[in-house]
Amino acid sequence: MSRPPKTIEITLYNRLTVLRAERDLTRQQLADAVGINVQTIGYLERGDYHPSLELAFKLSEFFKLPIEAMFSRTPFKPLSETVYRKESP
Amino acid sequence: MMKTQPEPLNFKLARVTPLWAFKQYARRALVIALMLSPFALLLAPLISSNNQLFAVVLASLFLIGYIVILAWLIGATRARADSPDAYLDEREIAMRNEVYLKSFRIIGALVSVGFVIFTVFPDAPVPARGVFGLLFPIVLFLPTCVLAWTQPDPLEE
Repeated sequence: MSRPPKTIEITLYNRLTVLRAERDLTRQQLADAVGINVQTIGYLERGDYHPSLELAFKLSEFFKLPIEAMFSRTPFKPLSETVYRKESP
Repeated sequence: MMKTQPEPLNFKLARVTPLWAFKQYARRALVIALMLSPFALLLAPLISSNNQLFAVVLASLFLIGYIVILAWLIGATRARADSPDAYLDEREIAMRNEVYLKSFRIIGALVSVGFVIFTVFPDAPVPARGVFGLLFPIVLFLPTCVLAWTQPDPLEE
């Protein structure tokens, strides 16, 4: 029987950097808005830290977007591709 | 009128800590210095030979050095190892808890090694009081040291 891994690998992609840049916000401003440390924003953006459900909801309320628009278990397509994609007939 | 909470003392330390101490390599050097300082304190009587006054001055200097290094370490880690939940966000709480787990494992390993040594060599000429005297200042601030050692450099904006 194989031994269980010591750590649980979770892959969670996010669009926080893009969303923050679109709104011309600094990490400090976003951190203050959701009540966390500015370093935590950096960790979230780099994917080094995964948010709790509560923090995900706070971010969702701040950006006025559903959670699945910000976080995904599969890589996001570029926003431009999503917006301007030509529908096939 | 809303009463503002006074800033905790260990948070003030972050402001008086030199900027270079926030870098990971500097924090690691400070941790090594802090770990060695109790041993340096023991050397004071040896270096000063028979001069009692010199021994006291030397020991005082080592003690002041220990306190300054400790203050810088607490400041460089922004006292996250000792802060209550109210002052931390969820990532910092998780990080603090992990630091305490690592510290517990280190202390457990040190106690186990001590137990084995004193069991194998029951007549060892090392007084248990002296060993605990050396370990006490190390173990007391171990979570801060582990955090200072493991925490990466702060991310740039």
